[in-house]
Amino acid sequence: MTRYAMVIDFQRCSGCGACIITCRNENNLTEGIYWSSKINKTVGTFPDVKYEYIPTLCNHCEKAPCVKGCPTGAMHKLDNNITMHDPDICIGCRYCMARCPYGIISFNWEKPHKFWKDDEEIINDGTSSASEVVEKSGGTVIPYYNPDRDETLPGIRPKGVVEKCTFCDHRVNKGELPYCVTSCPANARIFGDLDDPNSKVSELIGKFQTTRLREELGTEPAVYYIRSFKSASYVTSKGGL
Amino acid sequence: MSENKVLNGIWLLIIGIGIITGLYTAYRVFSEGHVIYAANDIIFWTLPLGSYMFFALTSTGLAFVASASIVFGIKKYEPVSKRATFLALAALTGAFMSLILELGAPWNMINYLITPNPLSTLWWMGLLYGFYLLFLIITFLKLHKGGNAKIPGLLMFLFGISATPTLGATIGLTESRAAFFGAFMPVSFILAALLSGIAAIILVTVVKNMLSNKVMSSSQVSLFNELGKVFGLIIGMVLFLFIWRTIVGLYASSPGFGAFDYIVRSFPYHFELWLGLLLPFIIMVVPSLRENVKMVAVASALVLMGMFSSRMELLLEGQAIPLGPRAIGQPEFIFYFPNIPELLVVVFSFSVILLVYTIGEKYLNLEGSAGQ
Repeated sequence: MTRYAMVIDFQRCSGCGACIITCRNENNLTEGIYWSSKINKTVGTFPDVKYEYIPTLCNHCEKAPCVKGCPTGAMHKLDNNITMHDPDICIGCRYCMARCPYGIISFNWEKPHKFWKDDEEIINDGTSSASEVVEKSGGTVIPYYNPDRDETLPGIRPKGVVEKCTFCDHRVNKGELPYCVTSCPANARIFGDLDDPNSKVSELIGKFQTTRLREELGTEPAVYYIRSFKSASYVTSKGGL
Repeated sequence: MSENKVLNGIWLLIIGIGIITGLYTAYRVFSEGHVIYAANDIIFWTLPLGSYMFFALTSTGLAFVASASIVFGIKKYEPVSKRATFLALAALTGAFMSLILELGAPWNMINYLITPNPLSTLWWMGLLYGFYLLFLIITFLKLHKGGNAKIPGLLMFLFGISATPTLGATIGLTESRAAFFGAFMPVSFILAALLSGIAAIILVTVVKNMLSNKVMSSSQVSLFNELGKVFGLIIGMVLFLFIWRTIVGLYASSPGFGAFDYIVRSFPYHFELWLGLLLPFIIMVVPSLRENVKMVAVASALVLMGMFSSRMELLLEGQAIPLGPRAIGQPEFIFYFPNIPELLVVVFSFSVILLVYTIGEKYLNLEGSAGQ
């Protein structure tokens, strides 16, 4: 059995956000929806301060609370451990959003890519309108439309249903890596089969101490973080009173 | 034109305006999307869901009141059983209106049957409310035709009392949000339903008698004396449940409970505590106030508004703290205030309830229960 998982190497991740941007292109995401995102925060007071950056995406939990709660099975598990969503049977109740401990499921509050239907030119007779750009580029709804996304999911999900990361199942089905993995310039994302002891993900999970988000909930996330790294040092001391 | 006809006309006009504005809101929701609500990916369950929960609970509560005589043979409750059954039906109709306008793609609900997920409490809730509606209709028809409604009434009661905690469990089984999670939730929903049901039947009966200048029959007076005491008792129970829930929320140190700090400073919380529970409790405990019909009606109306606030508090408790990447750049607690389209959903549901009830009152003789 195949059990896909992802390892994110903190020491390689530079926080450039390429995963976030390329995911949006690959999956034709509309404004306000992010399948790939991040948790970033600054902790401490200058000069003792650090910046934390955690790339996030759907954790494809083995015991996915969103799947358990979905009344129609729109949110479901594939045999390869990918948590998939079928917008054609989704009722838009948003129960999966309530049950997901990670805040990574989004709802289509309005018709996606509204902007690209706009006929108005920013400068009259000076610039093209958004709809003209779509037309001239031969795109579907958006100029940068990726038709490959249609292979397993409606290329653009309709309003009134939820959506989330699918580990780029349309690419994985063809033997390609998820697009965030391919596009990461630092090779910080490693993807593979947990059930294959020779896979890179198995090697890394076996070799390094791993953390997963909100592990205490028992959802068994399939996204592992390794090599937490802070490039700081301190003068050895036992503290003091 | 007689004064009655004018009043009836105004009444129907008000209902009509409520329904037309509601239909306009429905049109906007399904053409523009749920973006017209004050909801977002953090506070994604807002007033329309609170409205659904409130009306659904009121419906089953009314069915519990009706069951007292239909199922358990408590003769004293006979004078209100038919009206309570019909009101339960009207309230559930209103609840469904809110639900339809809450769901993003309600037409996909057919998949409850085609691709069911029996692991989902939400699926069970839909199933149980479906059967509850069916037996509610059968029970009412039996009562209306003068037949024996005991068997459908029993099934109505059983499905109602099963659906109610299941609705609570949809919230209560949400482990990812500590403020939602716990066995407390399903139990509290049963009590909230009973309280709303009793308040609704008292309010409707008193207002109806006042409007028609009718004096209560001796059996009605006897029932309302008892119902008033039961009402006070249930308010007291819900009040202490409310207080204990606050204690648990504030006592807990888990970050998921942090929203209680926000909720206890919110308007719905204080409305429910002081006006929705404490004041009605005082009214129902002091004999001189309890025996004043107008005061009882005021207490019922306050309780109903308090129970509505309670549903909103509940929804906000679990959502006010954003999770994961959604928390970035956001304040500790997310503020929510309903907007006009959301308020119009409530107006729509309420207008539908009033319309259904008005039709029942006019054509279906809701007095007593001929079948018993």
